[in-house]
Formats: sequence, C-alpha cells, structure tokens
Amino acid sequence: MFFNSVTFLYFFLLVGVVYYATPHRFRWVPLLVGSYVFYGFFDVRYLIYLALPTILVFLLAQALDRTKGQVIRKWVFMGGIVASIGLLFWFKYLNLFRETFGNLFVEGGLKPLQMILPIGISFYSFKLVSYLADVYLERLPAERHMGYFALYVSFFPQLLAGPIDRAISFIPELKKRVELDWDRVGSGVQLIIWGLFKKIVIADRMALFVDQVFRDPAHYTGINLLFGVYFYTVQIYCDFSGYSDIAIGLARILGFKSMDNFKFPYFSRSLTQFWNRWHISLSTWLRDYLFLPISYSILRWTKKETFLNVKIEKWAYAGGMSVTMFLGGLWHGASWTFVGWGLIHGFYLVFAHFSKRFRKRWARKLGIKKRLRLYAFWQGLVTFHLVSFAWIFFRAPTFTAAVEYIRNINVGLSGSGMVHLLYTLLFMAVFAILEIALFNRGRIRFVKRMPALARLAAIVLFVCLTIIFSVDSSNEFIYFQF
Amino acid sequence: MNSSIFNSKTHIARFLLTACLAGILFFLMDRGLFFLLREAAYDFYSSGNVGKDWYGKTEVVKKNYFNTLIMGTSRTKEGIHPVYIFEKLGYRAYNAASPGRYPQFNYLFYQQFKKRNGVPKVVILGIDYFLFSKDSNRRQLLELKGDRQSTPRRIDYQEARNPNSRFLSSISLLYRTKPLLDQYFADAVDALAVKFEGKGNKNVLPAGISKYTGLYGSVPNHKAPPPPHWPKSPYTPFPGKEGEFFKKLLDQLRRDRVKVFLVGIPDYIKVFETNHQHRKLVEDIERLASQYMNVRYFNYNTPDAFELDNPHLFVDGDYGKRISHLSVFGSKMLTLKLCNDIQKLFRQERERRL
Repeated sequence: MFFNSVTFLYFFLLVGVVYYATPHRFRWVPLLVGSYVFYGFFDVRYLIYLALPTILVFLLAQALDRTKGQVIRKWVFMGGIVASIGLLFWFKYLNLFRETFGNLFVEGGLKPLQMILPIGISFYSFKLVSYLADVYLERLPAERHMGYFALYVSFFPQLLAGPIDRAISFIPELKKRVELDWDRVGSGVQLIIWGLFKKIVIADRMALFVDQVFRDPAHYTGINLLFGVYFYTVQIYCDFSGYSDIAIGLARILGFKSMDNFKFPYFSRSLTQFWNRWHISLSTWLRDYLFLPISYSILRWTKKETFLNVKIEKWAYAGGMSVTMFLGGLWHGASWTFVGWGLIHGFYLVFAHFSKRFRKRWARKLGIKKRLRLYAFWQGLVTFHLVSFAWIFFRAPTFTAAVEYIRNINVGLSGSGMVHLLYTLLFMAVFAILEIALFNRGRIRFVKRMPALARLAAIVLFVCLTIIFSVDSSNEFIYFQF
Repeated sequence: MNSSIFNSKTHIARFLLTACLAGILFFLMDRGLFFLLREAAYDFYSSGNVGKDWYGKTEVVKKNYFNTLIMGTSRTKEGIHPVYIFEKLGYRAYNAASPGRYPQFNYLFYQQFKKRNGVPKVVILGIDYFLFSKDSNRRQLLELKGDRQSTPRRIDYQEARNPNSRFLSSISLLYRTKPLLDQYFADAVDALAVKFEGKGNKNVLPAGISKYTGLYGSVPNHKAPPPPHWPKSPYTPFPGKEGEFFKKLLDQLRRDRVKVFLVGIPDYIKVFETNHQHRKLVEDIERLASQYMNVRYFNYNTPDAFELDNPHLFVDGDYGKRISHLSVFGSKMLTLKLCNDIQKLFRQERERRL
C-alpha cells in the first residue's frame, strides 16, 4: 500500500473521515490503529518489530524520568540505545558484517542468514533513539501517554521514509486541538499532488534511463553515462522529496505540522549548505546525536590546543564529520558503496572546512566576488557536480562497477540512444524550470495575483498532465529500501 | 455528528463549490486532452511512420480510415495484397479474409466493420469454387457474435481499460486509456530514433496498410505427371449452405452504396482441373452480379486470365485437391491485374458520364 497506489487513497479517506468524526480526546486512536493497519499491510510480522521497541523505549523513558542517580540513568539510557540500534543492526547489517567477516577470515565465506527487513526500521529506530536521548539529556520530559508516544513512533505518513520528526516538537503537534480547515486541507492536497508528480512523472521517468545505463554501462557511450548520472541525481531527489512532500501533505491534512525535509538542495552553493537542505531530518539528527557529541568528546579528551600546527577544533570537526558521514552512509544501506558515498561527502566537508580561508583568499585575489551572480552560479555548478559524482557510488551495485562507470564517462556523442536521452532530458528540463519557479515563487507576482479560478484550473491541468506523463511502473520509493 | 467537524456553513459551501468547479474543470480538461492526444496518435499511426514490426498498431486508426474491405477465405487472404492496392489505387485496404470465413461470417463481419470503421467505399469479395458448399467456422462465428473477433482496433475509450483501477478508469479517460497513450508516446520516440539515428526496421510500409503475411515457395512436385484417375470435385450451386447470406450481403452493400468487386481467385492448374464445374460457378456469380449496379465480377480463375500452370505463382495444389493458394508473387500478379481492371472500369465509367 504505497502512497502512489489507489488502495492508499481509499485507506486515507477512511482514516481521515474517522479521524475528524472522532472527539479530539480520542483522535489518537484511529490514527494509531490506522498506522498499525498501514504497517501490517506490508507484512503482519512487522508489527511486532514496531510494537516491542516502542513499548520498551516508552518504559525506559519513564524509568529515566523517575531515576535521579546518574549512573543508573546512564545504564538505562545505554540499554535503550542498544535495544533500538541493536534491532536495526540485527535486521539490516548483520548479513553485511557476516559477509565481510566471512570474506576476510573464513574460507568459502559465510552464508547469509534468511531474514526479513522490516520496512522503515531505519526511520523509526532513529525516532526512538532521538526521543530517548532527549529524555536522558532532560531536553524533554518522558511522555506519559502510551498512545501518543506509540503514535509519534508509528505515524503512518512518516513511518516508511520519514521525516524523522523529533518528539520534542511532534508529540505536542499530535496533542493539539485540530479543527477541520479547508484551506489547510487544500494546501496539503496541493503538496501531495506536487509530491506525486515528482515521483511518478519525473523520478520514475529518470529511472527508465538510469536503470538501463547502470545495469550495463559497457553497452553505452560516454554521453549516455554522463547523463545517466545527472538523471540519477534528479531521480533520487524527486523520489525522496516527492515522498516527503506527500508525507508532509498527509500530515497537514490531518492538522499536523511536519518538519521540512528538503529545501531546494541542488541550488546550494556549498556542500555544507547542501547538507543543510538535503534530508534535513536526517542531517540534523546526525548533527545533534552523532557529530556534535563526537566532536565535543574529542575536544574534551584532548589537552592540547593544536596538533600538527592545526587547531584542535579543526581535528574535532574532521573526526566528528568522518565518523558521522561513515555512519550516515551506512544508515542508507547494508553495502560498503553507501559507506563510500558517505565518506566521499565526509571528505568534501572536511576539505571545505580546512580550505575555507585559502579559498576565500584566492576568490578575493581573483576578484571573483565582484561578480557575485557569476560566482554564485559557479559555486552552485561545482556543488551540483560534486554531489552528482558521489551519487555514482550510491547507485552502483559495487565499487568496481562505480569505478568502471566513471572511467567510461566522456562527452563523446554517438548516434545511438540520443533521441531517448533527449526525451528524458526534456522531462528533466521541465522539472528544473518548475523547481526554479518554486524557488523564486515569492518574486513571481503573477502567480500571487492569479484569480482563484485560474489557480484551480492550473492545478487541475497539472493533475491531468501528471496522469498523461506518469510512468506506469512498480518502482517503489528509493528510500523505502533504507 | 460532532459539531467540531464543520467550521461554518460558509466554509462548507466554499468547499462544495470548489469541489464542483474542480470536478467540472477536470471533466473538461480530461476529455479535451484525451481527444487531442487521440487525434495526434491517429495522425502518427496513419502517417506511415510505423515500420513493418508495428503491424498491430497500423490498425489503431480513426473511423473511416480503411476505405476498402477485403473478405473471403484463406485463398483471398493470401491472394489479394493490400500494399499493391494502396500503391496502384491509393485505397487503404483492410484484409479481413481468413480460413473458414464464408458468406454468413462475412455478412456479420461487415456489420461490425461498418460500426467500428464506418462504411467502406469498396468491398472485394474473394470467390471460391466451394463458396456455397461450406459452413462458416462455428468458433469464429461465436466470437464475432460475442464481439471478440478482431476488426480494426481503434484508440477507443469505450474499449480501453486500465487494469490498475476500475474506479479511476471510470472517472478519467486519460487514466483509462493510459496504456494506449503510453504506447503512442513510446512509438513516437522510437520513430524519431529510427528517423534520426537510423536504427530499427527501415522497411516502412506505406500508410494504412493492414496485415499481410504472404506465402513463399512454389507448388511441390509440380513436374510430376498427372495420375490416370483422380477424384473430381462437384460444384454446389447457389444458394447451397450460406448462399442467402451472400445475397443479403450484396443487398446490404447496395443499400450502403458500396462498390463491390467479386474476384475469382486463381487455382493452380491441377486444382483447376479437379474443380471441373467452373462454368456453373461462373454462371451463378454472373447472374447474381447482374442484379446489382454496384457489383462487378472479375474472374481470374481461367487459363486465359491468369498463368494457372505457373507453379511459382502458387504454394500448393494437386490433383484431387480442391484448394490451392497463391504465393507472394502470385498475389502480386493477381492484385496488380485486379487494380488495372478496376482502373479501367473507373475510366470507362468516367467517360460514360462525360
């Protein structure tokens, strides 16, 4: 029952009607039941792996709240973390480490264990960890109402692929009194339509080309491979941000404000800015619960102020960032290519941090900053290409395949496949124009001045064009795999 | 119901009005875009941009696309070649002939063809020696009556179905015909690829040509001497088994003002000698044809009109056998002869009118 299925439409309509028909005090009930029904639709066994850690973390948080002794609190906290991350490790990473260990130390390797991977486990595990950490650090009191807590963990629009909302902001959202607001519903519907367009028209269209070239890169000429990368860059963005838009739109219809997950990341002018705009719920989670604690720990443990003539703060940054991006890459999937992708971004960020002064000095010397628009464009172009390059490792099945792919990229034109490439490029161009328009929507006055009927007609036309150009495929959302 | 559900009457009214307007706009745009795309698809498929590999899709055309209908048995199916009819006469011919299709089937088929394609300008009926001695194939008749026989398929919203959702198919034409529209876009891109990249099948058929298989080879053992005796085949005179339907068909075609050409399909000489009562067949057909101003009979099943003894123009036929079929070369020769005769006829009619 994915978001782009008709079955989900019926499900959401039913849940929505029951939700608004229920008195406010008990509204968490249909949402919680609906969330579990939604999750159970994929596999009934998943419900156990959702319910058990939810109950455990709820109880542990209660214990943390009631316990004053720091040592006991620490052990309770660590126990909760181990349980949440342990579950994730067991289902998602055990086979990867077994395989790696087997390849290195066991003759013949080790056979992978047959086990299911509960969809969305990466996301709700992180919700549990962030909640427990916030309670431990006394940023928020433990939630007393089991129903609201369970709903926070299992809220169906966010369950499969985020956003990874924080309990500190989202549980109060779930509790607030919500009245049916048609403007808000209309806004939610618009967001869902936009999200569906990004997924079923753009992302799935790009996938048709990308899957072919990545499956057999040796069969294609350089320019096809080059555009394969660009198309994948667009595909993964549209797929994931499309899903997020749908999730946020659904939450909005139900009256809840969910955090933004993407803010036009490909318009970023630096990698730091990119990570402030890409998968924001994850990047802020990694920053708050991994990067900052690790960096501060390095600073606390080190007595010196410099090391190899470099300030300790920079080393703390480098260390923290490397570990964070290593784990961030690993979070995306049980494959070393994802780790490679994470480390590439780690390298980018560390390099950018270390070379900041040097780059600024040279920009001043060359007078680049005097031509602000050109400089901004250049920064954006470089950032986009650095990100696209890293995506090759994200998409390729193995390191060897990724390296082989890169080696064969060139701008050599060939007669073969150009028409299909241009056809796909047309969709990318249309999307780029729409994204730029959205990015600058505050400045586009005619949209604001459009009469309501004209705006409605534009939306309806957009829906019709989405139907026409949608790709009829069974591609599930990419981030469901994580 | 809980009063918290509804804010105020104004909001409800606004919501209902917006929903109605959205519904009306969607209905109009959905239909409008569908008809635009359908016309574009028709133009694409009928422009000759599709190659031989896309046989099935050349049938996906608009009403009144085929102006010539060919009916008959397998001898007519292989005997009359739509490509040459198009090249010589400019007529877009649909060859609906097939084994087991006798007058009853042809009469019923014509009704369906009329409904889907529209009334043709010309009908070509293949005449066989055994025309009135056999029943139409029962299974094909049942399929035709159950509307499951293939006649030219069109991008028709009445027939299209999107298997993904019946509900959405019922409210949106675009959604219902999505598989067909997707196919059109894919074919259009492929056609561009063929045009600009030179890939794919370059054997592009002229526009509007329906399926023609064509048989290759020649009559086996054609040099073998005739046996001393072989069973001769008697002729079943009109009306025979389905003669009434033959008459009904001619009556219908007269009412529809369709030009009808009854074509005697040649037999290989050995079969010609087996089917020894041709004269009676010719008399029957000439008598029937004379009753209709719009009907002409061209009999090529004579040694004077066709090289019945040329084994390369046929693929089968032997003494004692009632049936033989033309090869691709025989079909080309027959079709060209037929076209010449039709052209001559039309010229004479024009001169008479002047």
